[in-house]
Amino acid sequence: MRAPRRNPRLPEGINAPPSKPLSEFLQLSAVVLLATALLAMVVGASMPFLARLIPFAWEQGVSGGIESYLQQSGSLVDSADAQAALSTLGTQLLETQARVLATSGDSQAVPQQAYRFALIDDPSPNAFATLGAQVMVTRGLLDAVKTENGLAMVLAHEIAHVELRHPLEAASRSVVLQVLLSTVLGSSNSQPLIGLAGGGALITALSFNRSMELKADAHALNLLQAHYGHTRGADEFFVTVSGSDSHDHWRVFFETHPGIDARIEAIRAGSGLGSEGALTAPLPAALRSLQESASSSQ
Amino acid sequence: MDVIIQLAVFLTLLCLGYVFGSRTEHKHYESIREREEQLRQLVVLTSRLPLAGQLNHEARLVSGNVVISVDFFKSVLASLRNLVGGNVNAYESLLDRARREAVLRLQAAAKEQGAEAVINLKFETSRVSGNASQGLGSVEVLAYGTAMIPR
Repeated sequence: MRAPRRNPRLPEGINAPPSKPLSEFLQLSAVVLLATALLAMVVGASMPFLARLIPFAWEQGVSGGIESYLQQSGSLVDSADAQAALSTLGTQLLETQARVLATSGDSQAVPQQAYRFALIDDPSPNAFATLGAQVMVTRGLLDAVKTENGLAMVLAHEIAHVELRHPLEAASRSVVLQVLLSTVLGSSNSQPLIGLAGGGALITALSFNRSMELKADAHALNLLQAHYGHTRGADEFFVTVSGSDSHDHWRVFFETHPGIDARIEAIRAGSGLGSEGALTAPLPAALRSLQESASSSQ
Repeated sequence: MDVIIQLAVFLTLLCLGYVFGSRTEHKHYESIREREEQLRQLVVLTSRLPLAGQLNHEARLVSGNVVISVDFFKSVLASLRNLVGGNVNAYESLLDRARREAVLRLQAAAKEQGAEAVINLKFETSRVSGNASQGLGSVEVLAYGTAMIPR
């Protein structure tokens, strides 16, 4: 074998073909973004149907519990009587709902025992339904209603959200969004799932869209009709809220619940026969005394 | 807000990766070509047996070792490539540079010891995974062979 006198000059561009990294990057990211956007749309569109198929036990498994929310903001109202009165009213509504559903052979999507009602010490009027069938009502909202019917409408509205699995739907949407984001941003860690398990951060991020709100309103009216035999007082809270439009701390509610006026209209239109002249029930004593103690301290 | 900050950090890293990465690569290739030209006299072969005329030379192990890091832009490009498949051009040039640099260092080592040629050239490559969990890794390429040194 004869040795070459010197190393050959190797041709360039075989092992590392010439490339245009920037245009390659743009092309690839366009393709991936398009695909993920398409996926997000498909998942988003199918979520209302998928949410109903997910067992409630799974939802309970990922919800952080009421404590994780309270750690974030505010605390429970320090009155066992008021808390119990709220739970009692919620449970009564749930029992009515179960009775109505039973007549048509259906059963509740979420077991009645799973519901947790809590009164939160927060001056801004708001109510949430979150993962794990937790219904929270702020003290500010309690001050804005005059009768039990007004409060029942709010509770029925939140119960309807839970029954229609809206929290799960909203949570899935935000999880899907986070997963897609982390795919695009290239971080392969499981942060979206950690965020979900943490619960707290997600609860405030949950937002229901307009059609969810209207659906929940319609369900709530039906429930109120079944419970009291009329829907008088159902619009009470909304009227109070829209009446003090300029007031700064109503802002929170308007942000999460757009179109108050339209909803008052819809609620009034949905109010069936027998509402005229029907008697509204007064608030339970424990809640009323809480209202009074709040107004006297101001 | 959080998302915007995340996105801004990501884009900044991407730009830094692209600007510095491509500059480094360009410069590296230039220096590789220049040194390859200088060291062309020192023949490197893969044959296992000594060449005719070098049977009495002293044989000595020489090696050249290099570690090259992936830049952020390349790793993002590769992770996008991961999703759709195909040649990962970004890493091909990286490994090409590493291989050629390793041979150049081997040649430099051999030349310093007065070798006429290096036979039985072999390559080893491994991933240096110190910070691989963040997706950024380095690659090590080791070239080794037998330097034939005239007595």
